[in-house]
Amino acid sequence: MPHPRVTGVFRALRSYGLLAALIAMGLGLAVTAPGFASVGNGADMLRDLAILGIMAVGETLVIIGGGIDLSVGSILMLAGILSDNLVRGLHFGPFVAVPLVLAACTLVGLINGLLVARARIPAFIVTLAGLYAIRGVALSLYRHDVTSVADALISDPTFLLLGQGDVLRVPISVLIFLLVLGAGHGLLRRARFGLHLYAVGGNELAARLSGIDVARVRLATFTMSGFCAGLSGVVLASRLQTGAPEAGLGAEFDVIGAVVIGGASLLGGRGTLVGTLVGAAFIIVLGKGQSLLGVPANYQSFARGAVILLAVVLDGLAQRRRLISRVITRGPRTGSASPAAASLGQARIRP
Amino acid sequence: MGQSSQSFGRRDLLRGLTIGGAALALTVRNDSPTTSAEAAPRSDFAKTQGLNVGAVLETLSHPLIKVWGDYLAIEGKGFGMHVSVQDGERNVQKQTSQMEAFITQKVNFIVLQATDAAGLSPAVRKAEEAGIPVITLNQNVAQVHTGFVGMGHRAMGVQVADGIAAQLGGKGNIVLLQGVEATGANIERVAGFRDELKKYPGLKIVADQSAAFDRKKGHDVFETILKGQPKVDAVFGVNDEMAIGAAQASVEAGRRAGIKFWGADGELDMLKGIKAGTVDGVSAIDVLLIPRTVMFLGAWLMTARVPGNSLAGQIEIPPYAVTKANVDKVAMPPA
Repeated sequence: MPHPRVTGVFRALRSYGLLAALIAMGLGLAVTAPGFASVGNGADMLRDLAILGIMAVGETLVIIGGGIDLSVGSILMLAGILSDNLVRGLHFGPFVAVPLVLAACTLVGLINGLLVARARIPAFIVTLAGLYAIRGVALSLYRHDVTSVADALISDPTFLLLGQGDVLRVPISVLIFLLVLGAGHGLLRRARFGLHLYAVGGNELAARLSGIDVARVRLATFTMSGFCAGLSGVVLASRLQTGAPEAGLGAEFDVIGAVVIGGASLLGGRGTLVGTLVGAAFIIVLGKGQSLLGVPANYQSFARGAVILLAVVLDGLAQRRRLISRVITRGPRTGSASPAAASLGQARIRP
Repeated sequence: MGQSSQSFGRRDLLRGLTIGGAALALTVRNDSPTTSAEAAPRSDFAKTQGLNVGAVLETLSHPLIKVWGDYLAIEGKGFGMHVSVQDGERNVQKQTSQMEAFITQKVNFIVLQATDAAGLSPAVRKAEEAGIPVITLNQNVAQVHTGFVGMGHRAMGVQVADGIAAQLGGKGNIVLLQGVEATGANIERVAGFRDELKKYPGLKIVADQSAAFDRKKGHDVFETILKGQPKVDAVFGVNDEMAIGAAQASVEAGRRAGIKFWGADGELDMLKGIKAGTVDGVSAIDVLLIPRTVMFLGAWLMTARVPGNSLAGQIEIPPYAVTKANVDKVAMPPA
């Protein structure tokens, strides 16, 4: 298996293509959309990016491992409503409430992971069920004690720092995102876990035969995804000063969209957090730009869909060309009957 | 909203203003939107020419809210203002992002119909801090802000409780269909309803579920409730759409007779339904008063000699109960 850093060059090239597109879009909007290129708008977009990005880090790990997590939006909502209940309703301090909420969401992720990795139910089914079930639990916990608009707000000043505070003019939520991103990147690039994860996602059988505990790796990704979605939900609750019941609706699509635009393969074994960062930024900049340009909602949704499709198609083309050139120049590495199958397995294992 | 004694003066001022606004709105009232647009311009608002207004609405898939959006633009045009109407899609993050976009664009004022009374508060605070006044339209927020124009929601809840009690003789089983629970309208209507029900010990809420202010959801939720509840005497749909949906479900289940359906808002389909006997009562206002008063207040704010965001008050338009007995006296709104 080649070292990640060597093969990372190819990945970086593709990421730069995406980055170039992002910069081009940013420049275009700076000229056409009034107010796009302002400090205030920059901070707004960074705050949005943090909330989407934290969730997308967990989702990237799951997708690299060959899974998918559709329940992130519901976990985000659960985290918001739990925070609201604890901080506003029961007056818990944030240093007690936040760890409790994160523990609950991590547990939900763990349950997802157990069902996928140990009970061997397909991730799509488990997390689709989770999407509904967790949402139901969250809604049943939604406050019923508010009888006037004025007392609907979370007002604990320390808790509000998470989503609204700044350190040296940098939003704290962005710092949290960078921390999560850095940790995830380190895990993928510097730790044994990363190698195992790419192997599991690329070729499960090969990974198992080489002694990797596949179930354990998978379990870890879903657990981390639950944690990330929970953290994102806490930050959002702090930003909105409430656990909004509709906050997570459809969030899974933006998250998966960001990961896919960032170059990860839904088949597993491929993807980077740098790519996901750029993919998430793409979605945020696109949405904000359209909002500033006053594009009607229907077209906004259409454009988002078109961008996701385009990214995947372009990526598929690039991927195929690379595969073909490798087969031609080097030939199949193993004595497998089908060169394509062998190189496919090889390509997917490469991080 | 934690107001000082000083703001009582403002509240009185606003009350006067509403009446004035309503009167003005009525004088230019036309039945079709296009002719109303031509009823402008108003020379007493010369300073409002060319101003930009941002409007963030709850959703545009609700017939009444869609019409409110149209009338905001029409009334704005009358003052020479350009109104950009955004569809909030009942999503707090979407609405926040739209608010932020309007703040970035430095519009002259923002009209907001908040889908979450708490969740939009930070965005409202941000706008006010940036010197952009926010007028909330029918859905209030927790954050103190320039102005609210909407229905007297609490009074509506009270009125529906009294109306149901009168029709049932103070005794019976009630189903409560709540809307989007985080909205100001839902919080206040339900609170008023529950408070007033305490006066009638014979009335019991036997089912209480959310149908998100949506006709189809009202239908589906009530269809299910009917299967589990052998005896339902009245339904309060916290808005008209849900009441209409629930009434349809009762017809399909063959249980329309013996159930009183009440809503709140006063939209066209509801009033027509009362006339036709498909529903039984509504706590209503003249729905067009809302966009008209909002834009009048906004225009006044832009021309009045008051410092910055010094106006902070509530305009609650008092509702009236409509039943088959008096529905013929009520003018039909466009939606």
